[in-house]
Amino acid sequence: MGYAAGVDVGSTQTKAVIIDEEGQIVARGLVDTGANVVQAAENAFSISMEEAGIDEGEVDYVIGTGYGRYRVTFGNAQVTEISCHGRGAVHLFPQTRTVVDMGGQDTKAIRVSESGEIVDFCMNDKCAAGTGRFLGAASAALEIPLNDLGDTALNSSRPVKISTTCTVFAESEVLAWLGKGKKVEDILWGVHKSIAMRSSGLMRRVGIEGAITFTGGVSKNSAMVAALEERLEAKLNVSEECHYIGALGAALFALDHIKASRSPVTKEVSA
Amino acid sequence: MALQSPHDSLSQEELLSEGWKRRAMLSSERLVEVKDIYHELGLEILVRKPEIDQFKPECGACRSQACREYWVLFTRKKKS
Repeated sequence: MGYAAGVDVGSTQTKAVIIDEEGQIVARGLVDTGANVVQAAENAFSISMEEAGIDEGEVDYVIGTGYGRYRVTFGNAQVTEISCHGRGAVHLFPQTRTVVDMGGQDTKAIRVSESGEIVDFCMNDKCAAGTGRFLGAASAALEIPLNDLGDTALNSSRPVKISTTCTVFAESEVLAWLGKGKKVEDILWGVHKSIAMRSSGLMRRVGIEGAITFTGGVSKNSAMVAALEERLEAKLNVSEECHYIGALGAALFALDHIKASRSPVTKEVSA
Repeated sequence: MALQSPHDSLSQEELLSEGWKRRAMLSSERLVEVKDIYHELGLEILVRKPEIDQFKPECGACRSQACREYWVLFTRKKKS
């Protein structure tokens, strides 16, 4: 039996997913991207093959996605991460028609069709404070590990209002609130609400339809999920796999290629 | 030599009034990918350098950096 794989090289982390011929995930790999993007892609793919207990020869087709997709040197093709997130989200949650993908550098709102094709999308301005980078700035200013931000924020009882629209000013605004004696959890919940407000604005620009699926690394942040649900007044689809949805979408495109290459028409041509 | 576009002389407000939609301000590397996707969606694409008066005064030195390094992307439905 052959396998298909997707490798999503993001600005912060690189993810790999291997799927079987039924489109089921059999293994994942996750590494920090770091400075060596080529190595990160190889490492994530190696981890996933090790978890699956297979070697490279058993993976019939690999698609690279994410900002570093052209650095997946062992890949057979590349697909944009927007297409991959749409495809992966609909595969995991078939009712999905709107996707919000929040990563380290970008937030994207994507409207998708029943088959996962892109209908429309938009993303944040380069300098806007509506991405994971804003959380990184808050984490640095408050000296709280990134992974603890969500749980800390959910303890808030009186959130502050974060007004900056700029990532550069975010850290100084956070420190200013700290200087005024505000509690860390109240500042953090304010940061999450601010990001949720900007992200919901992006989503409204593409039009919110059907079920909403939250993807990307920031979807693991429980306070970000809560802030978005509060802002949108809707329950979001979120799962442990949401971090891997771009890689999953890439793997599904790879599986399409494998199946198409085995179709009777192709066999006739090659015979 | 860069091709002249009939929209080059129009301000952002004039572009919006002609049916263009401002999508995002992007770095060069992101611009390539995003342009490709809007092209695949069958939209007309226009790319401009940001105008310095579109930024708030408090943006300070970032204004000139953004005007040098970033691009503003507009899309419009193709006229049939």
